[in-house]
Amino acid sequence: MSTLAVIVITRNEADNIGECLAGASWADELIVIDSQSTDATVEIARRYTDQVYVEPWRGYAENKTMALSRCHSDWVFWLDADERITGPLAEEIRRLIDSQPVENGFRVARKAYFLGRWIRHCGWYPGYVLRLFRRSHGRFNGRLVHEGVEVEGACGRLKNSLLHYTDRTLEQYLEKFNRYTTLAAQELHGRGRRAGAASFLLRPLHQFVKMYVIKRGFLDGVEGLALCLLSAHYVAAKYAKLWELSHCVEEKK
Amino acid sequence: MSALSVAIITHNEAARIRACLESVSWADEIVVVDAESNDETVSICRDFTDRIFVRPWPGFAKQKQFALEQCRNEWVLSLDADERVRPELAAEIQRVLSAAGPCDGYRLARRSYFIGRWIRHCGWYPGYQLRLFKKDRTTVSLSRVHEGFLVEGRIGELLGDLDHYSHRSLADSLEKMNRYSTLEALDRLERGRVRPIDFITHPLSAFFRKYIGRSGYRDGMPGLLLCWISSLLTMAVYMKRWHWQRSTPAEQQAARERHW
Repeated sequence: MSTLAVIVITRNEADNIGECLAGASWADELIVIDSQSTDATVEIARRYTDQVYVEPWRGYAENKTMALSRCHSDWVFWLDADERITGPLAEEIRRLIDSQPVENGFRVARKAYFLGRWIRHCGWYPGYVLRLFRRSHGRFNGRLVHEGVEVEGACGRLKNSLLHYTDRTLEQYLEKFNRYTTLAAQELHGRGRRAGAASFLLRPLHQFVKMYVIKRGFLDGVEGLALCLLSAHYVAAKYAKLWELSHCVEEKK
Repeated sequence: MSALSVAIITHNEAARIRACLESVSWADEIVVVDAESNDETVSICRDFTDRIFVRPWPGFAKQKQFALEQCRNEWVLSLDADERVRPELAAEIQRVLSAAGPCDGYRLARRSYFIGRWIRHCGWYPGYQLRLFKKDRTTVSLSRVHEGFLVEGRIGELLGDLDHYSHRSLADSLEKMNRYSTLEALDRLERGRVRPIDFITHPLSAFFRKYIGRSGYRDGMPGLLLCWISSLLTMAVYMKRWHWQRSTPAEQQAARERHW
């Protein structure tokens, strides 16, 4: 029998964490690393597992690596607080790791619930993400946004989807939008990239056409339209902030 | 010469309040109403005035109203912590108050600093603000977003500029965009159903109105980014209205309570 650890890193996820951990309670180890939550996240998490650790925030990759260092299982599933493992997915994972696969990692399709609708197009679905891996063969990279796990060796795919309850309100979405675009711009800036009016105007347009037309976001209704428009602005914000980084010295007025 | 009170409301403004107060240190009285800051705001203000009132945040309009009520002079200048009165404007205000002109209130032109540039177009400038008025002629309007003063009587305009340092960075502007669009969406919730095409037409027209109609292109890249943020704000207002229109009355009520 192979063993599995599910790792979750959290910060102010009281609305999410209970349901998230309930869907993962079948795992051999359930490890939660919380940073700076000011709500009931930690108390709720403790109802589901003894392995809740409160740690300072060091970055996504660092905190996940810390979670990893607390595991002893053969396999690890990285889960975000706003994601849910469904029954069929749990069963599939269990069966799979017991079958001693040759792969060292598995990608899972992720279905996102955006403003009250399951998004099936827009390039969001299936949007495979690498989440299940052999502990001995995976490590988290240090990118600022969309950080991920790197696995040595071959990777396969799971059949069932992971559910992703993204932002419940547009306000939450835009708050995250703001935070992530700052990080993304810093990362581009760090790599020596520069932006001008052309990339600020053309890249968002390209993003919109890609998601709404090519990836058929129009099939996702008004929610799909909203998502594609917001994503275009996301790209605009990223390049606007990149321009700001290279043209404005920090204002302390 | 009529005496002047300056009314300022603050919350965690330690970084900016000193320059603001220095620009009006010539006034007869400075009234600060602080919404329980947990930084150095209040102690900085003590260097300039004893008339400091600390009270919980009751909402924008009510706080402004309270500050106005505390003023002891005939004329009041209402300032935000991120604004500075330029010397020319200060001289002009003093001239106006000593001459006992025909007006009961004055609107001030405000120039705003945005990511490295004084914005001269985009519909931001002159952006007249009714800020100088006779206390007994003035009330505060209760709209959630465009709070303002209602002055009974004749209104004039002054020539000098008020400097406005409201946008510290694009991230700061986007945060404000998020907050204002929520307030505006709540304000306009009952104004008819939102159609998806509104997500496209209104932001585009907001952009072109500012960038072309109000010559935003003459403000360079900052002008372009400013017009973009305002079109994003318009889009966010329509999307938030659309989303709330489909949510339950209880959810709408909860949103209102969070933001009142």
